[in-house]
Amino acid sequence: MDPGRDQEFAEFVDGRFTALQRFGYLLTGEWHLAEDLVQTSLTKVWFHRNSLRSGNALESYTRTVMVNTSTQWWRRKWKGETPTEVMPEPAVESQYGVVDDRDLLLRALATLPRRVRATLVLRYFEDLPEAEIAETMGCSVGTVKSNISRGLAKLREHQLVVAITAPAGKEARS
Amino acid sequence: MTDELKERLEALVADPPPPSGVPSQLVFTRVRKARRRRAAGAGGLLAAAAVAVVAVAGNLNDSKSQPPVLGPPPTTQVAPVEPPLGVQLKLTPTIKGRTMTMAVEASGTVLVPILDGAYVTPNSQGIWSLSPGADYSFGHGAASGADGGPLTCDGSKRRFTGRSTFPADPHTYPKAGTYMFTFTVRFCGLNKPVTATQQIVIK
Repeated sequence: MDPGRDQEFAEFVDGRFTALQRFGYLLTGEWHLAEDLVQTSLTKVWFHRNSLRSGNALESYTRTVMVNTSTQWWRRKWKGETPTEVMPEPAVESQYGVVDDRDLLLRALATLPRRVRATLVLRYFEDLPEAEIAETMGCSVGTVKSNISRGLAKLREHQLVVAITAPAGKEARS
Repeated sequence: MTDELKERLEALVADPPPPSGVPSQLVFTRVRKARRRRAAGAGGLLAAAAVAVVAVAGNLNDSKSQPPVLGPPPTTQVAPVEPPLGVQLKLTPTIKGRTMTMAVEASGTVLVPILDGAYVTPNSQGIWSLSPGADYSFGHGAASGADGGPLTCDGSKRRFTGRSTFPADPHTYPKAGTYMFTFTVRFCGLNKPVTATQQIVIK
């Protein structure tokens, strides 16, 4: 191991772990899986760290590896989860409204195909422009646009998400 | 609207649990383990190569070498016949009330896709784990699908033969009627996606 580069890598890991863990949670829907995903991805990244020049490239590459790894995990399970077309219970007003909303959004995200879900998270959580998402996902900008459109359309099928994804004019573009 | 979606996503991850240790130490532990595995794998390959050389040297039987005393007689090598590429689908619906669950069985031979430069290893889902994706519609506008991720078929030459069953999403029909369920799946090595249909009668 190169101590200088390892020190730099360790600083990156300690500094960005929580942010990557949040991204991982939105990809997997479970905190313990998110931590495992981040650690697995960073281990893969370590073997390629010498070819990455800046901190930005390191973070961007880590996100790419996380998306690919989570897709691989999902493919291994191949529909181990069984999302349903219609939510079993309607959202209701309650004193636990915030928790209900979170749960509903999480379940709505779980019904999306993995790469569509990753595209939405990169666009609306990480605020990445479409060109950068395309680079991260290894696809064309057209595919990114199509995934965003498909993802939002699918989210609109769920009661809570109707309000926040209702088509209100032109989509904000990069 | 998108601001609100962003706010909701941020609220979803507002309180992450603390990591189970110092992140960099956890990652370096995994790195060391991966390096040991890789080293062991390389060592195993070298050992296997050495054994192969010894075995071949011990079985030389050309005109200038001693024939093996107990070695097998030379045999003519026949190239194995590879099974043709193709997949058959069998749809088996289970209907309870207005909810239908479709079991889709795939059997046949496909090319193994490539991910990040390496052949994908089939898992417990067998042939389904090698599919780049599938789409299915329930016959009244609702549709779903499966995305196999960034797999590529380009350059693949390895074949896989298998049979396994994939449970599609359970689906509840809004009203009684007759519907046509359509399932389309893609595999490497096939000229076009494979499609199967099944009539569903909801009473």
